Amino acid sequence: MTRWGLGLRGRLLLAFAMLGLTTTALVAGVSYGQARTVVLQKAQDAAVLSLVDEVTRLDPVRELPPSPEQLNAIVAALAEGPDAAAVLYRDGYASSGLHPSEIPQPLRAEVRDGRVVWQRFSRDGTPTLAIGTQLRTKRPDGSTEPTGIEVYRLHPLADEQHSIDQLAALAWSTGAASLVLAVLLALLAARGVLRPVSELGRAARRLGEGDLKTRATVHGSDELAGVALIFNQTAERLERQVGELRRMEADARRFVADVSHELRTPLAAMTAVTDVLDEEAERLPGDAGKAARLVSQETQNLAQLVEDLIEISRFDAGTAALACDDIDVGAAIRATLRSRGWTDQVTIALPDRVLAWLDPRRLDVIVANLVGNALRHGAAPVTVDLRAVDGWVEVTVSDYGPGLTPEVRDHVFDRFYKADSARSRSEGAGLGLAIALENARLHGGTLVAGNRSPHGAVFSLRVPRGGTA
Amino acid sequence: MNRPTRLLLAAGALLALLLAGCGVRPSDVISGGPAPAGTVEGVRFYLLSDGEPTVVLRGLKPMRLDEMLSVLAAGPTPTEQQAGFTSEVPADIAPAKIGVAGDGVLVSLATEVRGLSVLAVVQIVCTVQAVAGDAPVTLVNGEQSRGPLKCPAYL
Repeated sequence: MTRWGLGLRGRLLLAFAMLGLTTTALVAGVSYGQARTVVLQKAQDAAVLSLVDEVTRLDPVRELPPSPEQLNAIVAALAEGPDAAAVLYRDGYASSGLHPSEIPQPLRAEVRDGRVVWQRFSRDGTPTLAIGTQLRTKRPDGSTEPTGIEVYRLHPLADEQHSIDQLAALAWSTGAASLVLAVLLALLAARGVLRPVSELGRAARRLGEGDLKTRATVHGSDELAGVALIFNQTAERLERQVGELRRMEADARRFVADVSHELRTPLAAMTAVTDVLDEEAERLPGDAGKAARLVSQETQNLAQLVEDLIEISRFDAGTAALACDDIDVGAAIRATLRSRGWTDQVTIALPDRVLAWLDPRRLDVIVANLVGNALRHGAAPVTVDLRAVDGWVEVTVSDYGPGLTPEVRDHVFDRFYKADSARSRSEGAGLGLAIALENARLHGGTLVAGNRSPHGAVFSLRVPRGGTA
Repeated sequence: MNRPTRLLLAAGALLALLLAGCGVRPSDVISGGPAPAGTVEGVRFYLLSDGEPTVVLRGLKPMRLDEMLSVLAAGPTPTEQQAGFTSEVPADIAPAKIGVAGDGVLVSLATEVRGLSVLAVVQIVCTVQAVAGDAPVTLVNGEQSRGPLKCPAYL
C-alpha cells in the first residue's frame, strides 16, 4: 500500500490513465491546433483572394472624389451573401450591413500602408474576418497610386467555427476513447502482474501452513518468475531438510521399536526367573533376599517400560488399532479401580448406563494412568467424575495436591517427562501420560491437563460416544 | 506542496489550456500582398490634400495636354473643395504650350517657372506625366527652365 492507500492495481490504473490522457491530450491538441490553422488559413486566403479579385474587376472609377452613387455601386458589387461591405473615401462612406465604426481600428490603420490586410475579430459573438484594402490605380509608368478609396469586407467565419467545433468534439471523444482504452489496458496489465503475485502469495501461505510440496508456477522469465523460482528452490530445500529430519526421527523410532521387541523375549525369560526368585526370597538369608526382591522389582519395571515403549512405537508407526465395543463407561472405570486395588482411595461419581463405543483396554490404560498419577503426585481425595454431554463422554480425574505449575502443565504429556527430577526411578519412566494422550487421540478425543481452585490438578478426558468408527 | 496537489494542478492547467485553445480566436492584423489596382476612366489631375499631391479624376472627355493645364490652373471644383482639395498652381500658368525636348516633354508656361512652389511643380509634372507616361518633364518660361522632372514615385 502506498501513501494514498492505492494497491498495485490502483497505481497501475492511475499511471496508465495519466499516460493515456497526456499522450492523447498532446497528440489531439497538436493535431487540433494544426487542423484549425489549416481550416482558418484556407478560409481566410479564399476570402482575401475573392475580395482582391472582385476589386480588380470593379467597374472603372470615373470620378475622384467619387460621387455617392459611385461608392454605392462599389458596395453593391462587393457585398454578397452574408458578407457585409463598406467603402470609405475620406469623410464619406457607403456601406451595406455594417457601420464603418465596426471595422477594427488597427485594421484601418494598416490599410493605409498599401497592402491587403485582414484580421479576425468577434462581431456580436460571431467570429468574423475583416479584410481591408485600398483601391489603387495604375499610372502610365506602370506603378500604382492610391485613389483614396478604401474597401472593407466582413466575412463571417461561422462555417469554419462549426468545422473547428467538430474537430474539437472529435478530439474530446478520441481522448475519452483513449482513456477507456488505457484503463482497459491497465486492467489487463494489472491482471498480468497481479495474477503471478497472488499465486505466489497463495503458495507462500500454503507453505506456511505446512504443505511443503507447494510450488509456485513459473510464468515466463521476468522478475516475478525469478521470485517464483527462488521460492520454489527455498521450498524444495525446506522439504528436503524436513524430509531428512523426519527420516531420522523415523529411524530413531524404529530403532526404539526394534530394541523393545528384541528385549521382550529375554525379559519374558527373566520375568519367569525372577518370579521363582520372588517365591524363594523369603527363604534367602539377609542381603541375598533383599537383592532377590530388588532384582525382581526392577525386572518388572523394565518389563513395564518395554511394554510402554512397544505401545508408543505402535502409535508412532500408526499401527495402533482400536478394538471398540459398546461398553458401560462407569462400570469399566470401576473395574479398572478395582483391579488396581484403588477403590478405597478414590472418590467416584459415576452415573450408571453411560454407554459408549470405546476400546475397553485403552480406556483402562487411560484411567489407570490418570488415577495412578493423581495418587502418586497429588493428594487425597482423588475423585473420578463421569459425565455424558451431548455426543461426548467426559471423564475427569482430580486431586487436591499442589496442582501443576505452568511449566509442568506445558510438558506433562511429553515422553519421559518427570515433573520432579528427584523422583525415584521406580515410579515409572514418564511414558504413562504420553500413552494416555495417544489413546485419547486414537478415539478422536482430547486429554487436557489443568488446575482447579483452590488447588489441585485436573485431567479431563473427552471422547466421542460414538467412537471414531 | 505534496504530490497529489501538484498532479491536480498540472491536470487543471492542461485542461484550461485545452479549453482556452478551442474555437476561432481573434487575431492580430495580418498583412498580405499589395493592394489591388482597379481601372479608372477619365482625366487625372493632381491636387493637394493636406499638402500631399493626390490624384483626382474628372469625368471629362480626353483632352490635350495644354487644355489639361488650363483646367489645372483653374483650381479645384466645388466638389473637390468640399472634399478638402486645394491647389498651389497659379492661374497664370495658362495658356501653356507643349513641345518635345529630346525624349522628354517640354512645357512652356505663361508665368515664371522659378516663382512656382515645389508642390505646384509636382502637381504640374504629375498631371503631365499622367498623360505622357514615363517621359521626363521640363518646365520653361523664356530663358528659365526647371527639369527635366519626374512625378515622385511615392504617390
